[in-house]
Amino acid sequence: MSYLNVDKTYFTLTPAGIFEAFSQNESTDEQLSLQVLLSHHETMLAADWLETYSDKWLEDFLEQGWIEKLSIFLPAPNLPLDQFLPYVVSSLSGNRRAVIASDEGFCLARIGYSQEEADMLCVAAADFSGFMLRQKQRGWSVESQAISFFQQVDLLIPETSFVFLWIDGAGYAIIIDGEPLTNNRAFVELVWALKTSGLRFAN
Amino acid sequence: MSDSTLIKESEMVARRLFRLYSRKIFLAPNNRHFHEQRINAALLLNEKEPLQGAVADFFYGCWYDIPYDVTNMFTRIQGRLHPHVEQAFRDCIDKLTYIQHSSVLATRWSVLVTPSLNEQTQRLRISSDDAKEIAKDITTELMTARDNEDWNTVEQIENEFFSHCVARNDRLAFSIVWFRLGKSDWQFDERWDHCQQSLDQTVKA
Repeated sequence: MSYLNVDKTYFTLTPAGIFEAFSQNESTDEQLSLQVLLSHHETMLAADWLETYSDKWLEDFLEQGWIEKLSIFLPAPNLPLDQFLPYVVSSLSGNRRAVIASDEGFCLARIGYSQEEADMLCVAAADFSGFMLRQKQRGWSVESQAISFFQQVDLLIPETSFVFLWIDGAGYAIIIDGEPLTNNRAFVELVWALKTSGLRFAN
Repeated sequence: MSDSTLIKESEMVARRLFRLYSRKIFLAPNNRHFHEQRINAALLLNEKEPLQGAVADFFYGCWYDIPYDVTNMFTRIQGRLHPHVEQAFRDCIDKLTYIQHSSVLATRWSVLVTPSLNEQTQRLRISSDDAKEIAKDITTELMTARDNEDWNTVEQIENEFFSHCVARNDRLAFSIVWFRLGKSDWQFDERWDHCQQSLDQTVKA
């Protein structure tokens, strides 16, 4: 990438890059190289990334729209997760109602849903996550990263969607009410916070 | 059927149309007819963000048409977007710039382009549409709780609101709520000052 000023350019993932990087419980080398971009408390310098990974991969990732080149440096979100996640995740939902679940079925954050509703959805998410893993072990290669449920026959706007992510070996589900709006800066910041926080909660 | 029910129904129809054409555009990014239908649907919604996202997709998908043949369409959307956003689109028409795949003009409603993080001032975690909606809801909830002299609820809603503002950098909702409550003699305690200071620090950082 001769035209890239590698000492003044930073990389981050796009929302599509998040889907690609964190979609599988056993990541490929390419997916791990994308995850590295959100492993630090600040955006990564292009030169640092290219010390380990190839130009060819970078070209491919840029073409796929998974990486964005930044001319400015950005810090990772640094608030405790419980003061950050609920408010950020809400913008992924057209109805501003969303939940973050662990793959063991625990509710990590919720907004717009009651605790009872959130707990019920988190258990459902854990079941779906387990189901997908079992199908994979049986040989059905599940590449999908989300499940949506619809009420109307045109399958246009989902009632509820479950988006599955794997971050550092732990499974998460983002549960979204109504229209899912994941092409969103908040989606990047949310995963960045989960990846760099060391799961730091204030309470 | 009441007026509000009718309004809600027509809003739902517009949202479904918007989503229908979003899907079509995702499959056929250069189809101008689909883009125009989607922009028409966005014009039926109150929010600015779906319209901005749709126009950004149109300028990206039909880039070859933009400097030549968009006057009619652009006249229809005039006044419906923030002035700086409208100016940015006008710059594209005037060939001063063009929309890339990651763009500060893209919104979470876009399907061809993706919102960029490449602008510090744009790094708000909330849209102005959401901020206004939240400000409206919070003001109503706080006024109702005060009318009922339910001071525990007032404190709880205020604390939730401060957490929201800090986590999402939502200076807009904070200002709107502050202004509206101020007009009705709200008693702002030191928590309001702390929240404002946190938001100010974020600006300086």
